[in-house]
Amino acid sequence: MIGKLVLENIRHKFMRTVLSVLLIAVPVTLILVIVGLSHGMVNDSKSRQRGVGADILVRPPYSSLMSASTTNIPEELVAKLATHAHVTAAMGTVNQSAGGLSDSITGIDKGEMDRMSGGLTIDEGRGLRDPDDVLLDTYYADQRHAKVGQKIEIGHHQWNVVGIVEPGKLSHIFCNIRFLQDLYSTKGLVSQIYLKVDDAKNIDPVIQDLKGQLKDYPIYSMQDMLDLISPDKVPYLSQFIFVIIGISVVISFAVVALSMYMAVLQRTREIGILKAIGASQSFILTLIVAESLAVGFAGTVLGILFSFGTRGLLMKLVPSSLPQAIVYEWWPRAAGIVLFAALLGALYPGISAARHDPIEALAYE
Amino acid sequence: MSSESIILIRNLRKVYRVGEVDVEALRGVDLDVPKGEFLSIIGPSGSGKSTLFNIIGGLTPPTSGQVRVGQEDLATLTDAGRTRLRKRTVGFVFQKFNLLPNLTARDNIDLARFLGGRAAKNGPDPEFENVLKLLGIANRLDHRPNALSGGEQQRVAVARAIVNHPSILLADEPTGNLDSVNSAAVLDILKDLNKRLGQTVLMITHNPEAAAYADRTIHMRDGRIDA
Repeated sequence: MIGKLVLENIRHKFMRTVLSVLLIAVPVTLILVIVGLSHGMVNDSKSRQRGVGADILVRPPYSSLMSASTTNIPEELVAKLATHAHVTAAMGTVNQSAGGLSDSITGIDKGEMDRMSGGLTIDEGRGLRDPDDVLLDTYYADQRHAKVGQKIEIGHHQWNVVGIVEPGKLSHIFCNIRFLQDLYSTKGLVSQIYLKVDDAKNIDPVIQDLKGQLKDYPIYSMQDMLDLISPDKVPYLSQFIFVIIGISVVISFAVVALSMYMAVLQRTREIGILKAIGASQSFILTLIVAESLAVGFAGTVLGILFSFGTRGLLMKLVPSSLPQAIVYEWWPRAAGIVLFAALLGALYPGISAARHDPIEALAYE
Repeated sequence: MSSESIILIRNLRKVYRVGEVDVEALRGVDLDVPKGEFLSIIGPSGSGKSTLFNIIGGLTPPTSGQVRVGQEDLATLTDAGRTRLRKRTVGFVFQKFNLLPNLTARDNIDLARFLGGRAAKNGPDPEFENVLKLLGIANRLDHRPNALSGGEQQRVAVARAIVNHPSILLADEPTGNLDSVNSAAVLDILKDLNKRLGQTVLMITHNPEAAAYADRTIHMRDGRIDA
């Protein structure tokens, strides 16, 4: 019977309910988009790192895994590490910001890249040859509406787009490593070194050996590195998400509190009738809370649907810079956050309704 | 208290606080209502009859005095106790019908039955089905109040009031919003319920013709029952 009453109340004030659901969907969308972006960007990075085909990563001295790359590893180290007994391929890369939120341009040596990963798969155009040549993966090309033969500005430099490559290997943007070193005055230096070893069982011994030789360099197996890359390792991301959750709770609380307060005012007489026919305070409170939770649940469902919409929109507009994942495990969390806020928002109007004097309520016009 | 009395009131006083002024609505009311009586209470506006009705119905507590309804002493009853009284011991019929506008007539009646705790455990109530036929609303139960005439709404309200077989039916100006034909129909129903089922009925009215349906009429003035 409570379900029927809630349903009929919602149907009777359909527009108010729709607006409340819409407003509650906003914080749900906000949470899911922020979490989806953090997961999407990390997953994109992991997928590209996995696509390199390396077994070991050597990072610049004193750097951490999630810090931005600096270019201060002497390039001769690449050649030196390539001579290690179990190393079959070594590749040094240079990373520079491409000017976007998360994009970087990566300088590669074509021969090293071919030996390490089997090479980039060119869908259109040709490979790198001249200094100003740049290769874009399909995501970045779509994002910038770039075609082969066009000039494109990346990192304050005009590049010639000479090819479009399949995504999933190392970077979204590739250029010649020598030219990038010259352009950013980092001649003879690289940002990181990828190594491939002859047998998987030799990965750990090689790492231990290299750690002995290169004391200040963080050295990871690629598998360990991929396991370590996660949104909760991104500096301050969890605090940022916490702030967004806080904002979402406030918005949901305010929306539900206002909506249910208005509902209680509009239904003062009905509450009087309910009391006259024997409804207890707890029954009336339950009614208000149930309606709030129904609105909160509908807002959560709509917010989830909106998060698919934002993913589609971002995929259309900025597929390379802002890949948004759909993080299913956050659906119940977002629902819990919003329903908790809805419950809080329902308490004051609910208690106020439950305490209405039945005679005054029945006289309310 | 007489063994036959279902309502016994002694020296009942009720004072309302309106702003900073105390208003004495009842000034020492004494009343006995035997079980199965149809009693009408008549009096001008402000005479205290609605206040008396609200206290007997457990909508507001008395300020002082003794009020017994069935086995309950209303002077000592808590809010939860008064809610229990409204669920099972008294049923209300109001001048403005007071049906929930979002629910059908059937749902309005079922809600009262649900609140009275009878819906789940008892299932269909053949006796009540007969009452619905008596009220002439059996074929109007799936309509919302705004699709029913005033007379039909008041009959639904009567059905709702008696669905839990209360000891007392309290009717506050039940014909106040009805034309003469529907007024007569509703009063006939109240009389019929009283005679056929032995339902105790207390009815407030301004209308002497309506009051004439009752077994007994008392007059109120200035918060007291006229001798």
